[in-house]
Amino acid sequence: MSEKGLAIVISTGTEEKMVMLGVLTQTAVNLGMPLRIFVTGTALKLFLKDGYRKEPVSPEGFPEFMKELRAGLARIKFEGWHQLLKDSVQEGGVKVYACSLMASALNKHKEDFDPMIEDIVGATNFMIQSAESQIIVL
Amino acid sequence: MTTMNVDSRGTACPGPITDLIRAYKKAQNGDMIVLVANDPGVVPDSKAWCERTKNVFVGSKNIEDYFEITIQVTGKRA
Repeated sequence: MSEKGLAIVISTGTEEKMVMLGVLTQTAVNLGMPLRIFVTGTALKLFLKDGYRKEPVSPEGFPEFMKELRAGLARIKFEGWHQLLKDSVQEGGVKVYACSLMASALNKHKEDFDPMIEDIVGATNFMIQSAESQIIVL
Repeated sequence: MTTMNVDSRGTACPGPITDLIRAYKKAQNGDMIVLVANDPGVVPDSKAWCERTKNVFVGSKNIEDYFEITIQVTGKRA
């Protein structure tokens, strides 16, 4: 297995993708794999200050499934993607970056984001930093 | 040699492996870790973790509605 690390691009902020982001992030920490997360698209709003507290967005076409999934996650005491990411960033090895294009378009600055956001970076920075990493797109 | 018991029943992926690693951090080479969990992926996940970290997957048992996994700690660096 590669020791060069992982990079995740999260571009859609629907609930099930955020669950997956949390699980993959915690797993990377468990395995000691360095991880960079690049937040863009509709996921960006969840990384604004207190953005994660807003009502989750379900993927269109799956209302009943998402209802069942949400109840199941509560039953098994899933910690929530934000908590998993926050813990992972604190434990080290995980860096979360916000997309500069989206930030510019929405007129958002570093101070507008969740404290877990390391920096606002462009695609060039992210790609160079992740050139030797496996990249997962969610 | 110490046996460490880790009860991760009720947690879901990646909770059992997170709990296993918490115990592993306190363990010494030669110690045994017995992990119980009911997440359905815990056996293959534990095996893969052992292979990656050079610990020994001793075995697993399916007991009622949970799995019991025994790991020998051998991957700690001196």
